[in-house]
Formats: sequence, structure tokens, C-alpha cells
Amino acid sequence: MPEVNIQHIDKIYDGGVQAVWDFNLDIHDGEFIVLVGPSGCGKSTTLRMVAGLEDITKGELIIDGKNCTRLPPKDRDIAMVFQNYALYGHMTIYENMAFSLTLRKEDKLVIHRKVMAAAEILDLKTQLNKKPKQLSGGQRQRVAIGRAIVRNPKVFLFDEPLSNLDAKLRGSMRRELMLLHKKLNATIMYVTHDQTEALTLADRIVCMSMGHIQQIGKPIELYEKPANTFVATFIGLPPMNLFDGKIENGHFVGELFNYPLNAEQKEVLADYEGKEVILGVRPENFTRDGHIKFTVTNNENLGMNTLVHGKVEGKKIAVCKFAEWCNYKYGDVIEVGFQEENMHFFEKDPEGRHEYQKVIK
Amino acid sequence: MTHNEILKNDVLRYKKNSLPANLALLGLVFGALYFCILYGFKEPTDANNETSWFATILIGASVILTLVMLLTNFLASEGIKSYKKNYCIVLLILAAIQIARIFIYPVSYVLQHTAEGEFVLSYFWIRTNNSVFPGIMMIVWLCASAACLIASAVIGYINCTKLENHLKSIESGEIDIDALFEEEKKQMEAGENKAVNTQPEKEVE
Repeated sequence: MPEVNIQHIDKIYDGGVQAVWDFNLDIHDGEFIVLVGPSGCGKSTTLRMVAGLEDITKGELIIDGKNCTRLPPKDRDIAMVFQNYALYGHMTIYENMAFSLTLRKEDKLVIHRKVMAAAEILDLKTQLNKKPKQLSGGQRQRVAIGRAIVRNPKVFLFDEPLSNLDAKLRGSMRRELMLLHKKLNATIMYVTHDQTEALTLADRIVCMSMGHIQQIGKPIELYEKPANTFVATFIGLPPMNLFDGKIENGHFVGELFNYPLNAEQKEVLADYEGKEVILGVRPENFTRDGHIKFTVTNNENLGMNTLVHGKVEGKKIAVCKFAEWCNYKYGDVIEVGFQEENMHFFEKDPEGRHEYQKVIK
Repeated sequence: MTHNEILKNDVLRYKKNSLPANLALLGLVFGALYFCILYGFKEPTDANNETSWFATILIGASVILTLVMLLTNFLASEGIKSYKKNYCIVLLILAAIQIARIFIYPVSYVLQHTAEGEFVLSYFWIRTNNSVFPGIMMIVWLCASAACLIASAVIGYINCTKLENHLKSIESGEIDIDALFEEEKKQMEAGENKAVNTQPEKEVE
């Protein structure tokens, strides 16, 4: 039985604005689900609906077989960790972590055991007598997580917990969260707009945009087989390069270049002969042995690889990522091609929005 | 010492000494009630029952003493909250002063005013004229205040001593809290495994 079952949930605010459309997802026991998407896509609203902080307009929420759609937050047996930590400044770390259990009037020794166990997991034992203001951002976030752990909830909800931290700390906290998930084997719903967090933490990613789910899948699936151009450009850094064109006589004929298709691509795109399509190529799938002219505008050496920004045939801005150390200068013209097995083709529906074109291959 | 006893002491490391601190504050409140009555009806009069500069100075001194008592009481409550043993003595001294105060004014007042008078409502208190009632109430508040302060000092001392001994045991290596938790964890896991192993096996069709 899935631990959390979200069935066709909608969220319509009082003014009539619909923030979430038909959100449908089964989260399995011990699964780490990451909701990812740009700001305003409805991911936090969905999380808050699961937490009970927002009413569910339509649909049902079932947690461990129990219908929680109309239950108040305290009866849902979930714990939420917020971006701003939400710690009580006048309490010590110990008291902050013990607070929810104290409210439940649990035995002092039980509280002590749980708090000490959580502090051990989160490496906070030496900080227990301090006040939140004496801790760093990362430590405060760990306290917030500890406060959730002591409750031993069925589901953990994280609402962009690392967004307030600097890049280095975010990296270390990310690794700690992964370890924590392994230690606790907890069911986690995690909201972020950072695709790196999503790709590294998730068992499955739910990619959202404009209140709709765009794709649900394992990180590698979203990366290698994006469902539409939105997912293709949102997941991956730098984003996938998209080129408009047509399929004509076994070639991708774009405004800027023609590219011959291999036998497999021809077969898949047989129905699209003469039709407009979008070609997507990830920066790392460019090769330096093609026939497309690429005018370099910027060369960024990142140590392990080089990001080369430029214009395809002098017009379309694109980014290539080469595994080698490159030393191109502004204005250099190089000839590039694509790794055939990693070319993505998307339908081009003239009536549809450009960013939501469905994948063909 | 059992695990629970050790853990009860270990909790003190992370919790404030709240009960004695609150008792001390309660003592302060009772003390405040005492002087509300005292200054509510006491006229600055001398032994001849006439208003004089000497009587006014005495009232001033009494107000200053009360303020010092309140401040000291509050500081002692904060001190005992953070397990500072010396403040137990301060609390006991304050309790002694409160007891002594009973004999300075309220008792003599009760002895002097035996005739019953009418009850008058004032802002802070049911005030009586020519009655022993205010004197008795002053005695009650002072006794309550002293009792709270003594209780605070005793409980505070006990908790401070417990924590002190616990910390000494940890420092000397006599008690290892981490090892204790580890042992409990193992026992719990062993218990769970036992429970799993003793479950009846499902019949295979």
C-alpha cells in the first residue's frame, strides 16, 4: 500500500485562481519524492495541501490508508520543515526539539531519549544548550529537521529547506539529507526549485509547471527522456538547446542548418515527414567533428570541462559543453555536430505553447 | 543506578531549573501582595499616631527594603534557574527576612486592632477599618512567600546537587551517556528481533 496517495487534487483560491490542476501521485513507503519547478508552479501549494496548511479544493489525500483530505494538520501525522527554520528564538536547541513532544505531554524520559537520538543522528549533541541565534544556518536547519525527526511522523515534508544556505553549505546539507533518508528510511516529500537538489536527492522527481505535472520519473528518466520541451530545458544545466526545423527526405532541415538523420531516427520520424519539429541537444552532446558553424562568444573553463557559448551559424545562441580544456577566443568559428544517439525530437504544434511540446523520441 | 535514574539526572543538563525558579517568583508575588496591603492602609504615623517626618522616613525605608527584596528575589530566581547553588542561600535569607517581617508590623497590628470594623473595597484589596483582617492577611502572604522561598531553595539545592554529581560522574567516566543510549538501542533491536522470531510462521499453501 502506498504511504501517501494524492488523488486528482486541485487547488482553487477564493479569487478563482487555480494553482494546482489534477495532481495525481502515489508515494511509496520510504520513497524520496522531489517536487521541482519554477517559482509559482504550484509545488509549495501542493506540499501545503498535504500538510493541511491549505484546503484541498477537489480530490483526495490518503496517508497510510487514512483519508486525510479534511483532517486538521495535527491529526495527519506528518512533519514539515520550512525554509526559514521556524525555530523558537527564546528556547534552547533541546527545548526546540522537544517542544512538539512536550505539547503532547509525553513522558520526560521518552522526550529525552528521542531528542538525544535525533541529536546523535544530526550531530547536534554539543549544541543542545545553545540558542538558535548562536548556530549557523546549516545547524539551524538541522535543528528544524531534528524537531521533525523526534515526532517520528509517517511523512516528512520539506519546503525548500536549503534555499537560505550558501552554496557550500547547501552541498554538505544535501549530502546529510541523503544520509538521513538512508538512516531513517522515511517517506519524504521535498520541494525545491533547484534541479541539482532534485537530481541528487530524489528517488522520483515530479516536475511541475503552471500548476500541472509535466513529468514524473526517476532523475535519469527526466534527464535522458524528457516528456516535453519544458522538462528538457528545466532539467539539466546548462539547459538543452532547441532548434526549430522540419523533417525532409531523411534530414532535419532547420532555419540554420541541415542535419542528416540515421536509420533509427528516420524510422521514428517517418510520420513527421514534411512536418515541423523541434530538435533538442544537450550541451554535452555536441561534438567537435560536425559541419555546423558555431561562432564562439565566450569560453568558460570549469576545470573538468569547458562551457562554450556561441551562435549557431552566427544566429541562434547555444551552449556546448566539451569534456576537454578548450581555449577558444571570442569570434573563433568551430564546426560542431551532435551525438546521434542523444538527439531529442519534439512535436511542434503550432497552436501549442512552445515550452510544452511533446517528445517524439 | 538504573538507566532511568541516570537519564532523569541527564535531563537536568538540558533543562532549566524551572520549578524552584517559579516557586521563587511565586514568593515574590506573595511578597508583593503583602506590601499592597501594607501601603494600602498604613498612614505615615509615629508612635503617638501622628504624622511626622520621622514616620515618613520610616515608610521610605520600608519601600526601599521592599524594592531591594523584590530585586534580590528576582535575581535569585534567575540564578537558581541556571543551577547556581549559591542562590539557594540567598533564597533562604530572603525567606528569613519575610518571616522576620511578620513580627515587625503585622503581628503588632493584629494585637493592637482587635475591634471589628467595616469592610471597604479598595483597588487592590478588601480594606477594613479598625479590624484585624489586614494584619492577618499580611501574615498569610508573608508566610506563603517564606514557604515558597524555602521550597524553592530546598528543591533548587537538591537539583543543583544532582546535576553536579551527574556531571562529575560523566567527567570521571563513571557514567557514559552515549554508551547507555547505545546499549538501550541494542536492547530495543534485540527485543524487536525476538518479537519477529517468535511470530508464528505463515502457512504455505
